[in-house]
Amino acid sequence: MDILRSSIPVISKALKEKKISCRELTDFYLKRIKSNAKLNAYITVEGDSALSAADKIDKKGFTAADSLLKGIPVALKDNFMVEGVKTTCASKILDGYVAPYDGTAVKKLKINDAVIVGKTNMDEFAMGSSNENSCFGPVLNPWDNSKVAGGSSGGSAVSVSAGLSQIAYGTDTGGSVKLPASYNGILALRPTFGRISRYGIVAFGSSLDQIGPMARNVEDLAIAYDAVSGFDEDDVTTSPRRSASVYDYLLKNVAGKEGSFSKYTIGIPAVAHAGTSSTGVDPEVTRSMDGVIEVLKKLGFKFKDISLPHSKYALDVYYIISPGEVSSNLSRFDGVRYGFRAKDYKDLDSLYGLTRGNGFGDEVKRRIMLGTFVLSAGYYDAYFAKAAKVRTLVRQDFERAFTECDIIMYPTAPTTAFKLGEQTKDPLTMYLNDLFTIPSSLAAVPSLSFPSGLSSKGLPIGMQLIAKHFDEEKLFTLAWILQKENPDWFNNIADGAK
Amino acid sequence: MIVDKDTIAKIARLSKIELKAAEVAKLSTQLSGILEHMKVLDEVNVTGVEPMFYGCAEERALRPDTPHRFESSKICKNGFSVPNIIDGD
Repeated sequence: MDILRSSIPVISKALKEKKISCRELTDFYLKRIKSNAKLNAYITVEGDSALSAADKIDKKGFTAADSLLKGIPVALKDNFMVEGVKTTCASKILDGYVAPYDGTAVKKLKINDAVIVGKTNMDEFAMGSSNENSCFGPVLNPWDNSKVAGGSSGGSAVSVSAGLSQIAYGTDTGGSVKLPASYNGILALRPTFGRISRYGIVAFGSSLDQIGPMARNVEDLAIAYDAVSGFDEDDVTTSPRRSASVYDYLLKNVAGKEGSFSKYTIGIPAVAHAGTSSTGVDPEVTRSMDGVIEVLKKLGFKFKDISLPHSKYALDVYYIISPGEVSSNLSRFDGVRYGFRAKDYKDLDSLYGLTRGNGFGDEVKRRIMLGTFVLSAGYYDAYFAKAAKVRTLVRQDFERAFTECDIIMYPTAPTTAFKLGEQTKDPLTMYLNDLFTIPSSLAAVPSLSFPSGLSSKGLPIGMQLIAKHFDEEKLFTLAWILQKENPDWFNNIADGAK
Repeated sequence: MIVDKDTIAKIARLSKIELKAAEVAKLSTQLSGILEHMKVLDEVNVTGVEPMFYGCAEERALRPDTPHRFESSKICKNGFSVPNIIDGD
């Protein structure tokens, strides 16, 4: 069977019918991780424990009632706590740190008997848009190794796009699952804030962070989301709303009925039409969006121009609020209880100062400093408090737009993946890559990035769908319909992968 | 510069990060550039607007106040050995 182009339900059936064993499946992916080591997508490969878990699953056997995820190889970004496994967040400051517990999402995956093949490379503490900020070196884009993988969940995105795992999970604060998904030609979901527990995820920006599944097709994305979503008493920010299975919803209400969904109105904001070289939006990206619109118009979907007038301030709001939160969340890394501790300190202050000065990378230090500044006396009102109010206006724009349309659509990123090293000199240039992903993160609404074809240079382009709070079903419905209509955009393995 | 070298030094002290001289100069330029870009927020009227500090303003569910205990052996695996400073302990 063609494992790489098969969805989880197809593979699960093959496992249940003993056409393939869990060990064979796990070994298949572990071999691909090894032969694609150059991509640097993994920090830790759990080869022995993955095979041992696979053997236990094969010994237990499969029943028809088993979870679809049973026996499926899964990769996790290296800010997920997996008990007994090194957790680095791609930072020197966590050198040697081994997670003492499983996070809730990890517990749920283990209950479902998913097989964790390893921990993926990322931008340090999830801060970055290119995965060039890792202390373990950058992740390479498998479509073109001279290009960035996108960040901060670059390793997880590459694991899916190069066929190194069936699915992967990352985290998204300002776009860190959607942006690398767009650059890698795969799907990713950033759920409504509160849908998935963050217990056991190393915190970056606590009013923003969300776990996001990543996959090559819509079925896998839905199954991956279902497995980890839901209220968790260990995470007070999770929603008490019952999280119904999106995959079951798709099978019951969408599969085979794709033609009857033309009732959706899709809103397109003005920024999406801005494809000229002066706006920084690649005209090929805009043309790709126009192509998606044509496909959907033929199916009877209606379109409406909408306005998100405060989204142009979203980048500045985000780069005030998230560093502010980071400066607090990363104060726990002090060299006292775990991780890297500097030598040659003379007192407690210098222990902290030298450990953090030498243990954190440049981008992390920059954001901690920025965050400390905007929260400090004399500047808090002008920066942090002001940004939080503008954030409300960004959110209200979305609320207003959703009275006029069901889903908002526009490109996930202004460009395709850029060259390694091209944007590392000026932090602001790098931050601009998040231009299209940040607004929905600030508003806490769910969004889904899907691949919409390749550029003339063979690089993936991604589009995003955004829905109102807790309306993930609409996102998955439209993605399912697009996958049915344009299957060539989905289930692709990057050209450069071995 | 919005953020001069003295301000960088002050923020570094608050953040407990020891910076090298070259880093101080670079950060002063970079943070000033970033904060300059953020001046665009001055044009936004936020009179009467409530700040949004939380991801989603839904009602929070609470759990019973029962402690979750960790095995200290698991926690201590990551720790450092330090000299004994209290006799008999």
